[in-house]
Amino acid sequence: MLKGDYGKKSFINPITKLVLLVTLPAFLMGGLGGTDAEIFTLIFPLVSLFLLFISKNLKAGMVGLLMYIAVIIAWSVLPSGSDGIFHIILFIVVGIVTGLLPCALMSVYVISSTTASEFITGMKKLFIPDVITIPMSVIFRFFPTVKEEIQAINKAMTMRGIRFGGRNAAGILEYRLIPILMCSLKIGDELSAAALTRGLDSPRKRTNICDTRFRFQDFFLLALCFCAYLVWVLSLFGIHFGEVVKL
Amino acid sequence: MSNQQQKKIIGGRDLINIGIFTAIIFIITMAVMPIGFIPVLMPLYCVIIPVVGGIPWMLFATKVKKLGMVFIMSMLLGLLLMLTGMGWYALPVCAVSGIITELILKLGAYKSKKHTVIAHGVFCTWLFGSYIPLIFMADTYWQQNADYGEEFISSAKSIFQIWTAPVLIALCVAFGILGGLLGLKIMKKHFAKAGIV
Repeated sequence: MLKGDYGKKSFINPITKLVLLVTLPAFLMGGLGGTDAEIFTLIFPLVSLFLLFISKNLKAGMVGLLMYIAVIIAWSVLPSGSDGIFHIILFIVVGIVTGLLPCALMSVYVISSTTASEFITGMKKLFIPDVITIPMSVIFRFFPTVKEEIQAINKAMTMRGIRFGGRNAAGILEYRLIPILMCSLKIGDELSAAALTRGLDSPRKRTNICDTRFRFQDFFLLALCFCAYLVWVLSLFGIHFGEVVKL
Repeated sequence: MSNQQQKKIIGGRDLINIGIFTAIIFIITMAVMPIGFIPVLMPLYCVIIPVVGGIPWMLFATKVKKLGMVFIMSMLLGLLLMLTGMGWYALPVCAVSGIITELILKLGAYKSKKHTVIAHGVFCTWLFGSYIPLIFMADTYWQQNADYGEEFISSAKSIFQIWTAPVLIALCVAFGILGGLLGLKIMKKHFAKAGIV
């Protein structure tokens, strides 16, 4: 998706990445398993941080780690029973950092460490049809690009006074969204041209040189996800993990 | 290019277009999502996203010439909702709204402006998928998310009751059509002038 570096092997399999990408939000943001799966809401953020560090994405890793530590300290030091606007703000910050941030970090890891080729190979192995795979890989490829474009456009528009509180505040939507759409269309045309040159529409079976074997770390992470789902399913049947451990 | 358009089957170029517009609509959704931390503002998703999303929609509609493109887009949005922790409930909603949208567009032969605007109203009901656990499974949902705090849960519970479901869908459709009209206007102003459409 981002990197075209075929020589470097990524630490985990694309399939494992996909599983993590689905599992993390389900437990951290969707709240599967409730209080029974609480232990996993502590493990999964560590997994995403670990993967970021191991893929040498130090900047994102450090930012995530510092924010996470800061919020955990704040949450345990400050009185949790207090009411009022301060509590709500703190709650919002905690919600974002413990729920959204690990998922976002995981997506950063997946996007920055997976090539489009690896991604498509992984999806093929899971028998997911092209109509899902191709748009999905475009979406992942597209997020970082569109972020850059948005930053550039925002700068330009701030210079023209089109910002909140500026002279042309009413034009915010129009003058920011439309340039983004224009760029996106252009990027889309370029992407299709590039993909068609590489034989996207070819009826032949696609071949690749990606190494997508499962290794120890893949089995470990998949087992971790499996355990999380197991705890959730058991909790549906009234068997609570917390009680089992106490016994 | 001309050879591509004559074919009725969805090709690589169409899939890439779907990916790009799905990403744009999803980025808009993500930008609006944080207002949900104040429960009273949650129903506003159904107002803001359809209005803003109308602009990329009208542009996307000019690229849609084949059966199934809108349906795929709808399903992808459902999948992305699932990936961002809204649960799988969005998928069936997206399937139904996608099929109906597709039918409306088909009635307009993928050309009629009027049909495209109305289709956006129907298409926007995909947003309703993220409300389902809040409305129909409120008790289990809040049990699972007890750490949101008493205040948040009680105010959210008072907003999301059974009667809010039709209201939210109506909001989606109404503001979706409004967004479509806005998109049409902006298309005329910018894209037609630039020769993109």
